[in-house]
Amino acid sequence: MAGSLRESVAITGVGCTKFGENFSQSWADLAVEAAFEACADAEMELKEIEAAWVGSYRPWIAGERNTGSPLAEALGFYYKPITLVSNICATGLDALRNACLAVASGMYDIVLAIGVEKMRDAGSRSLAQANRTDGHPLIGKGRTAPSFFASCAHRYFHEYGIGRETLAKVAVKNHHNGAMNPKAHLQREITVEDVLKSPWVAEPLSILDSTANSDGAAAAIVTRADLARRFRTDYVLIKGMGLSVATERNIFDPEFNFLSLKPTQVAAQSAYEQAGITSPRQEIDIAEVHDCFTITEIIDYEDLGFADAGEGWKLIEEGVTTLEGGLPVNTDGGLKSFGHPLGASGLRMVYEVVKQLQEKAGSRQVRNARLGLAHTLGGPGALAAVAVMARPD
Amino acid sequence: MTRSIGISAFGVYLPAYRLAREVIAQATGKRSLGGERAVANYDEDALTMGVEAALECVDNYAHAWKTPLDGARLQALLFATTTSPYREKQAASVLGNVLEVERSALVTDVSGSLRGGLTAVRIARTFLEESSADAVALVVAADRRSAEPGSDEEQAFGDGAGALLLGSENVLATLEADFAVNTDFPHFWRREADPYVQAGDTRFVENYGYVPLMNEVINGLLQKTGLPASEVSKFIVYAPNPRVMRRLARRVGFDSETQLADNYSRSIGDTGTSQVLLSLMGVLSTAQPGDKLVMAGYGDGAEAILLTATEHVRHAQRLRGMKAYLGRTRPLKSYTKYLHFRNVTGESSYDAFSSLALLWREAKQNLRLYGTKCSSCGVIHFPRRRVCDKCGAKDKMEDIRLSRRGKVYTYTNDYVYLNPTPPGTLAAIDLEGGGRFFGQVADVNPEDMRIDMEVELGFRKLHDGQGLPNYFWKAKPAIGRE
Repeated sequence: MAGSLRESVAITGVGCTKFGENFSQSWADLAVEAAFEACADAEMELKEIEAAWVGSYRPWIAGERNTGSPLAEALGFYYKPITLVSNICATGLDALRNACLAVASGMYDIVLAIGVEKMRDAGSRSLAQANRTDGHPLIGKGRTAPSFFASCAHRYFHEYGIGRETLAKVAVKNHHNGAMNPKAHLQREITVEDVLKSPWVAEPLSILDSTANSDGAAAAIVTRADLARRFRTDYVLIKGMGLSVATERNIFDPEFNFLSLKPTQVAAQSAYEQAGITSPRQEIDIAEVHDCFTITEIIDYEDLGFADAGEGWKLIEEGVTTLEGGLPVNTDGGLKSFGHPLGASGLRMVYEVVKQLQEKAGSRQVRNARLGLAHTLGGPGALAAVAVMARPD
Repeated sequence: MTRSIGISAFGVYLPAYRLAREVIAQATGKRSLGGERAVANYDEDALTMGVEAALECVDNYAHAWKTPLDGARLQALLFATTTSPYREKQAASVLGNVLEVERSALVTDVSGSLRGGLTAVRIARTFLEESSADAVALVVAADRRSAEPGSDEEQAFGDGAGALLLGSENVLATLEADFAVNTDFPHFWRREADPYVQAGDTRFVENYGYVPLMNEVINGLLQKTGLPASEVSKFIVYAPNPRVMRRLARRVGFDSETQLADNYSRSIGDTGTSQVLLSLMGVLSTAQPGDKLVMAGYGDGAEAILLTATEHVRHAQRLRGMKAYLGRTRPLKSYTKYLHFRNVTGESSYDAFSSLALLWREAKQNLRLYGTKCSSCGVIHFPRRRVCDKCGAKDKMEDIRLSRRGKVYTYTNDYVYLNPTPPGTLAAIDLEGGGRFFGQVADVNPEDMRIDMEVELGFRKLHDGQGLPNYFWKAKPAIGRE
């Protein structure tokens, strides 16, 4: 085990735009809203920030450069160090991780981690087009994120005997939470029947098993923990961060079972060790996990140690992960209902965890939440990031 | 003749789709010619079908003679087609790349004429007569001809490919003699810019072209060999339609009921250069030792070959042949879908990334299907790796050619990826002998997909990125070997 952050880093402010089809907003508009909300939340000026990590998986599809400059331009934040982070769906949490490491190193006292993704300027099918136009011309051609997770679902059904109804309950739960969230993309309740009747995306996953294609941005102000109290008393401590990067060629690995995704396991193990967590199911009070598809959330439960292999589906059937359950998951609606601007999602999760730990989550508030987790998974299945956060008291 | 050359093995390839001519007739307001025609899937062209037939032929050789074909013996590769995906550049060299044909072998396309399949056999025979005794030659013929929507040819044509392995050892049927008539007679033609095959006035081209020229070449061959028509077991003749084939039989003087081989014009259609070869394969599967077979091809004159079935001809029954492919069909119920397959409706405008250098660099992996096997820990990788991702060994890899047979580990039917015939089926496949393939599945009903289903990998065109046909492998339901 390498080192840990030793509780040396804190989050003192968070910001998040409304996620959705924000046609009236540019990449820069999204960045401005998230960054300035985070500064206001921390009761500080933007100019106090010494460096920034901006997560954006594909800034060029919104007409932006593949550099740190779009953020500098948007915020008028010139001549300071800005690093672009791009790690597919783990982009946002990886931006936060790099920001935390920079503060922990002693190099900076106050930095910004921000995730911005402007998906909808490129059309509703831009990700589908990317599967056709980008990447290796032959190897794995035709594979899409839905088709990967759909392949996982078929194998999961085959091994464990569940069906679409159980998956649908994940979507129902997350829409229920999202319906209470004014910043969520899809603020409406759905039923199991709705999910089963909605059109296919990739069998056995339907549109309502899938995340929305959204614009959005989210940001966090990261400071030295010993300075955090200067900004506020209810800051949030970073207890552990893990990042695990492997390969999207997992689909060619004869040993890969399509049932568990090792990057999640390794990233979680790393974060848990730093945070001193030994039984995550009992210790964690609220979790934001990567539910790009309903099956993904169930696989996440197992890989994050919330359930044994093959038993993640029971948490859904038994209601463990509802707002009232023993381990509420995706209290803000998750990717499913809140939406999924790729580079922003990790920091959107952090936003929710921070609000829950600060008891500012309104009607979605989980009682006595003290330890929270955020998890993103990208690739698909190639890489994952996990962050564990806690109240300082 | 310096050395007796004959056919050692053959390989059939027919696309899975069949379009009933009644469906075409209803859509185009024409009279149905009856029966059905084979239709190449949207990702198949003459070259992909030729590769399939060639691989089938090599596999069949091993089944017929209980010994694998030593690749070094393959000294000539001839690819006959009128519909090469390339106007300039050999298609045969792609075949040679997939088949790992020796760099010094004779490799060429035989193009332009429908009789190219027979011409290629004659070239191969001449070549082998001058080669070492263990040399073999592979003749591949394939066509995917396009006819104008609403034309008779649209109904008459079919898509398919066949391959013959020729040599002087392990012979099913011996090439006894041949004869040719060369003339400039345009029956079918297609100019540089023509999208569709053009045909001359039917009565003129049949009465002044097909019937007299075929009669001349067949009689020429019979006279040359002193064989009376009555002693020929089967006449295996190219014909643009069944009606004119029966007229030819009357003209030559043989019985179209007993002596005329099925050329599958009703069930498959006119498969161009491959038609006569496929018809021969059907005959060989049931031939008896000593049978005399006359095969005749047509185009810019005509060409005929006399064969005699050897005492080993019954080995041909071990080959996966016409019967297996005639039994594996998927009905294409819509004429519109056929037009999609033919790209009449225009291809997707989303150009896939590709790179000439990348395709060249990775041919061993992508065309010849070689993975790597770690000599330290034994894991098989595909795509190929230098550093083992299981044990970390660097540059300790052995080449391993992956099996093209396997079982579905998991799958999905995907509606997201841009595909001319959604949904696109994808599967992870555990290959016989190790390694896992993940890719597209062709020629399958989405609702028929199952975990553990048996599949084979077939050669297909994925897209035209960078203006090149980007060839690779897709899975398809396995065809049984009886």
